[in-house]
Amino acid sequence: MSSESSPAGIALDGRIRSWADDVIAADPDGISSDGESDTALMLRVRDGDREAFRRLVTRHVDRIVGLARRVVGSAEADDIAQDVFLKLWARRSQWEPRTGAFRTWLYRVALNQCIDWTRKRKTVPLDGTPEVPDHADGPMEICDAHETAARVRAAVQKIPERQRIAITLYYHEDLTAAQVATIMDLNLNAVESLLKRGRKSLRVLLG
Amino acid sequence: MSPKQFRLLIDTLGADVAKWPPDQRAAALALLSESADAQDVLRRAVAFDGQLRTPEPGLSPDRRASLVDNIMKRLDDDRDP
Repeated sequence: MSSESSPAGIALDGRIRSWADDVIAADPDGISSDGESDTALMLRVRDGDREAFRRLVTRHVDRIVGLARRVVGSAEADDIAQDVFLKLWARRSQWEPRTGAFRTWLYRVALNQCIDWTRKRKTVPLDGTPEVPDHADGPMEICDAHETAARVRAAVQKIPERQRIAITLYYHEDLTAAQVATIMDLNLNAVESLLKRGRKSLRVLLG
Repeated sequence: MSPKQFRLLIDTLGADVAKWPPDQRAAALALLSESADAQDVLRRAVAFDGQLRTPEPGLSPDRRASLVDNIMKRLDDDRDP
């Protein structure tokens, strides 16, 4: 746990935990249009149910590819996503519904995988990562969306890794600071500091 | 809440007041209701947040299906990736 002071003076350590727990507990845990929650699917996955796992992967693969694009880069995103889900399957017996929302666990595994890839890669420049063509929308929408997303991605990849992860989880994945703290295993003050420094850097980079 | 405190919260937690600590929201909304400067700060922060929230382009159905199939085929690999 970091001992950094809160840049916003938002909360004292004594009450951070309960606020964070409340936020995590309020997470809807990915109840999809098919009516079955991530938790329900994961309970079946834990028993070796491959069809339930296929549904979980299908439900979350876009999210994990997008996260990997932001944190590591486009060229590696598909491979990272595959490794993340294979790791989930290999470790399915370790998952306990009481330990937190499935998405929290998924993000933790994904970010550890992203960090591993970044460290293995060592000196590959991030800024010039080529776009992998893949089009779910029409040509005009693709052009605009790709241009903006690529610009933001390039800027995010220029800031330090922990700031990049905090910013990506908070803004791109729309998590709360408390959820980011839980996933990154940091206290709330440390996450707020990362968010503040990351936002300041990105304001300069994005003009 | 002072304008300085408001700006500090924006700089730290962005423009989505719903993601601020509950005990800060009411004070922020009160300031916003009476301060044109605070409203201007929030407007600019909302625009910047919009950039940061830009979604990554989604996978096409074919590519998603291919990724899912590849993962399912590799479930019995011994190694932990």
